[in-house]
Amino acid sequence: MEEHANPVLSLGPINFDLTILAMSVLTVLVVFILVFWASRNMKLKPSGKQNVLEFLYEFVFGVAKDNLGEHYAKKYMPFLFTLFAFILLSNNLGLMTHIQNKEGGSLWTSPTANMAYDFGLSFIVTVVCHVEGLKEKGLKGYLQGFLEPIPGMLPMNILEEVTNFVSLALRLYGNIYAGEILIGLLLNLRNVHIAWAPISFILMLVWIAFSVFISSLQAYVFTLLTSMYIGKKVNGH
Amino acid sequence: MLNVFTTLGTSTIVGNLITVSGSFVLLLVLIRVFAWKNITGIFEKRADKIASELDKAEDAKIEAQELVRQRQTQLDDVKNVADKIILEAKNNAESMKSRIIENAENQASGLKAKAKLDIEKQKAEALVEMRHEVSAISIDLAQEILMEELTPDAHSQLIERYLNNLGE
Repeated sequence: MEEHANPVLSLGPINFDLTILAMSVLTVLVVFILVFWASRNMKLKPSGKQNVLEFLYEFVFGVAKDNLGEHYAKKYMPFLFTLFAFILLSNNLGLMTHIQNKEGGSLWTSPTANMAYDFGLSFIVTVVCHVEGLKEKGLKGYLQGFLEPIPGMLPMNILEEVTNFVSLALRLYGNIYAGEILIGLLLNLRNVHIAWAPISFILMLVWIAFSVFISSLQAYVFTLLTSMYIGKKVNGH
Repeated sequence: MLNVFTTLGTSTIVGNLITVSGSFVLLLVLIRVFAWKNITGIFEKRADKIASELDKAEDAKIEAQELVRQRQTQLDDVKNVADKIILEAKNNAESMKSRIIENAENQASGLKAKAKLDIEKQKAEALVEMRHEVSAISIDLAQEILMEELTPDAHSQLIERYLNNLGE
């Protein structure tokens, strides 16, 4: 896997992939700077960047409201909005350029093109989901939820929790990683023979356009499913 | 994929997990602390403004309807007064007309009567004069015929006899 060729920082037993670390920091910085800049001097009649920010907020709020109801949607809005913005930018970051170092490791990649990274995100979502379910319903209500709609569904419900966790991660990983693989392959097409270069360029254009669409869609799907899982836990089945 | 779990020595799984958790939590905290109040605040302010504008519009509408009602009653009053004035003027005109006509008629009949009297007087005078002339002419003629002078007494007796005959 490519991560071994990436520059690595070893702090004791733990190895940090520097590329992914740098990309994550970049994501956080860009998202925060954009949101911060757009939320200064907000007017009653919006215009320009305030419009964009409000559009994104309303979009996520609409998704949350459908699944969570008005009250919980307001409560979980910071979490869902951050999730959406974070994943949206991470997914699209890797499409901007492709920088390789001499060992063949990538110096610019979508952080979400890494399996451990996506499992991390999915784990955060699952933890939040179950903790909120416990907080809202209490221990008894939370355990009761596993026995709905009939007690015979218990194994299915447990399996559902596992599959939710795994599928959330793998869906994101598969889409973004596949996009990056294909970008790498299309770039290598030029190395086979220089005559392939124009075709490679055109195909690259098409594929990057498609990947932008897929990245945004995956961000939306991730947020939608998160709000659905939280909704199921705090509102009941 | 299984290699990922067996080569934990140089793999970056835990590192990535830490990276992703750290980045996400950092972003969540940053947005929550610095930008969230502004974003939700503006939505609330907008909703409040719309609600207050709606209330103000409702009040303005009620006030406008009240004013319209007042204007309408005032307009009706003014119309009534105007009608009364017109009626009075008409009546005055009518009475004046009949008065003037009466005066004119009275004057006309007065003039007519006076004229009639004048005519009668003139007729009488003319008659008397005519009588005198006729008598004088007839006396002259009689004188001529009789070729003699009458005495003043016989003269006047002749006249009287002639006038009496005329009078019959």
